[in-house]
Amino acid sequence: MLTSQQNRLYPDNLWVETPLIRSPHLSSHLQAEVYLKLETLQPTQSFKYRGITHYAQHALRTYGPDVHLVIASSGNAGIAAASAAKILKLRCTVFLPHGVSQPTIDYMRREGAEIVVEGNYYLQARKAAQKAIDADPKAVMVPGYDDPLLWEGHASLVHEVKQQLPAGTKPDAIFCSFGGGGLAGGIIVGCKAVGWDDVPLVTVETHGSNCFYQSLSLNDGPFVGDVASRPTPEGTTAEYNREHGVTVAHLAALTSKATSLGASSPSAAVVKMALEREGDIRSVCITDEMAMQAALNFAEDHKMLVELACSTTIAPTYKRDVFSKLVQMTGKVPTVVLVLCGGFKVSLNDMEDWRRAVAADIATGGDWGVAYNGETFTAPKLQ
Amino acid sequence: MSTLNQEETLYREKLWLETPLVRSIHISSLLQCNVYLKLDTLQPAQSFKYRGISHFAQHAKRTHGPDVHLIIASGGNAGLAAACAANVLKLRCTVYLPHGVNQSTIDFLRKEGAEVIIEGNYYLQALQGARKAVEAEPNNAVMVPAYDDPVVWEGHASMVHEIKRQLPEGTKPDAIFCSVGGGGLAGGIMDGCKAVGWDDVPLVTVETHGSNCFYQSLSLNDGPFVGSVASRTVPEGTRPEHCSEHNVTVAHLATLKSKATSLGASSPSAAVVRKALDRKGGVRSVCIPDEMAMQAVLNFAEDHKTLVELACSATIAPAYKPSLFTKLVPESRSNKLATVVLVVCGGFKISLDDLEEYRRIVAADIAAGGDWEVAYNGETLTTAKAE
Repeated sequence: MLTSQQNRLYPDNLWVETPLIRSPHLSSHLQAEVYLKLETLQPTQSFKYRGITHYAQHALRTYGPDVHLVIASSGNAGIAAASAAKILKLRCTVFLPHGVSQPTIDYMRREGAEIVVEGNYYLQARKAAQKAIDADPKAVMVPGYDDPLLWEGHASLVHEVKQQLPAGTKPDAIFCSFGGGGLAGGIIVGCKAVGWDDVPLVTVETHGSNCFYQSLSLNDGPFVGDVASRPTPEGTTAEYNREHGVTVAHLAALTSKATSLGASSPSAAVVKMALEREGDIRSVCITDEMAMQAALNFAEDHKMLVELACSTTIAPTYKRDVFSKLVQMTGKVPTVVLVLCGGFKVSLNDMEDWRRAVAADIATGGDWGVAYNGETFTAPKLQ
Repeated sequence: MSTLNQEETLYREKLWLETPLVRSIHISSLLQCNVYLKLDTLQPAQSFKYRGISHFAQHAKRTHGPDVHLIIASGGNAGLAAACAANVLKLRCTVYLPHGVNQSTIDFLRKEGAEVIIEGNYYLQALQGARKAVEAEPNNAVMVPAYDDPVVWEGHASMVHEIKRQLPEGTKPDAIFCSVGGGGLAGGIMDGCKAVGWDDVPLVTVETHGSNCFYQSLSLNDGPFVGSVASRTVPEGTRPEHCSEHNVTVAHLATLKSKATSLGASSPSAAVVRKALDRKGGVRSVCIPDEMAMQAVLNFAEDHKTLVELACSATIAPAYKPSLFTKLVPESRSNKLATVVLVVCGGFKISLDDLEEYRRIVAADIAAGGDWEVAYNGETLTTAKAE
């Protein structure tokens, strides 16, 4: 049942209200109440469907039925845009770099999108998309993560979570992955709308794709110590964004296998929202292998395959030592919500690769490094 | 009483979730019609069994009071459903398991607070242990039925009420597909269909060749199977038994050979066989090879990123074979508006290791050449192994 607020904001939404299920496995493991928001169950199998259909409907209302949706994406955003366009009967072209898997391309084609494969890297596909926009007066660029309309669409999931939790329950923390910041932006906007601006947000990235963590480090905020004392990693350039009054990190290279996180810089606006909100931002980075192990565990526990970008969110809950640093465990039993962003780009072969990679990594001994708001600690590799 | 009121009244205090009904873009595209998945994988305890069994547990608590002790013999999913329901209702629950149930299932049972007793090498021995325990506590203990009980079917039937509300307004399915083990799910679906005015909706029931007590039971009665009862041979190892209460003949299978162990019932509910023979929409009873179910597990995992047991993928398997599908649902032929619902019953007993094993088995079976045989209402069809 929609609240009147939801009805006003989202009169014709195309996305579905996804289940919020309590995980008996994670709840038992942590002695907490752990809820999973299953964005895997959106029509295109990721949360992106919310913001991107919202954007597409807005484009249709603003520019009319001849509007041509253009997007550069190597995966989930492209699938969401293609699907939105099909339903709204709009033309859609997806620019992809080389190397995108056939099932993803097939999926976009099945949804009626035109596919243009150009360049070896996302940025090249993006340039090609921009050229197409410049050449076609009816073309509109569907943003990946940096747009208030996207955040407004994504924010709908917070409205749902509030209604779905046991009456009157306020989460002690919400966990989400952070790529460019679209999801986090939506969660922050949604929290504000429902009176949850003070709810702590735990954002999780991987060490090899952590533009948000690095951006927070460049500003006064939740990180320990002061900006001057925090070194800028090699390969990162700091850029001051005047419009939002924040410094944003630009990463030269992304080395993580969690490619759906892959943004070389985050939305400056989202960085600003994160720094300004009342509730904490708890910014965490983990190793790829820890995310892989979480994906394997999650598959065994919940019988769902998720991308690394998504299991990144879950990984801290499989390690009690990490979780207890992020969420207060003394006093009442905490309630946490993990936003499972979903994603189509995971296969059984991936699970096999990850099993081998994790086993090999465990065999080398040692622990996994975790970064949290400027500090580092370790998590045991073994379960 | 309108069906909405009926639903509200029957299920006012339900513990189960209204699960999503998702239109599968992948399977709909393959079959060129509208294929919906009812995702009961998402129930607490991770299978549809939570509906009927939590409903039964609530009924037991209302009837016998909060000290009632729920006892169940199960190889897995029914036990999990009972344990989860008992945990929520704060009831004592004991699950009798045969040896060989995997550790993760036992851990899950214990996580839900159930007492676990491992007894015997076969399900029947665990069942005996459970019965003894019930007899020892005549005032307090109640046996939770696995599939042969009207209260259980009433709980499962809730899924049909949901499907009716969730489909586009006014849409009536051209067919509903479900797996059959002992018939609890099928019984619930048939009762639910009757309640919402869908008694004429065709029901396609799917089993595996090596665990097909329902198919064999239908064969022993006048009904949807071709030819006459007398002309149909009774397989070796099957004993027919006439049930006078429901006036049907039921098959008792000596052995179950399928790897889809969650289907594993040596005989179906006689009442459910009766329902199937009586209903307007009839029943289209199908048996497939294990390997075809395995292939469907792998396809479904790649398409929908969900791991399901063989007992569950049996339902989905025909949908991955377009020419077989149009034989089972001729209503879908060249009809883009046709609507089919696949009940994805779920189940906890599936692992990544299982999928690796299935990959190898399917590859070897394809390499052996030939086609897969599918039984359908007394006839044999073939379907190509390769995709």
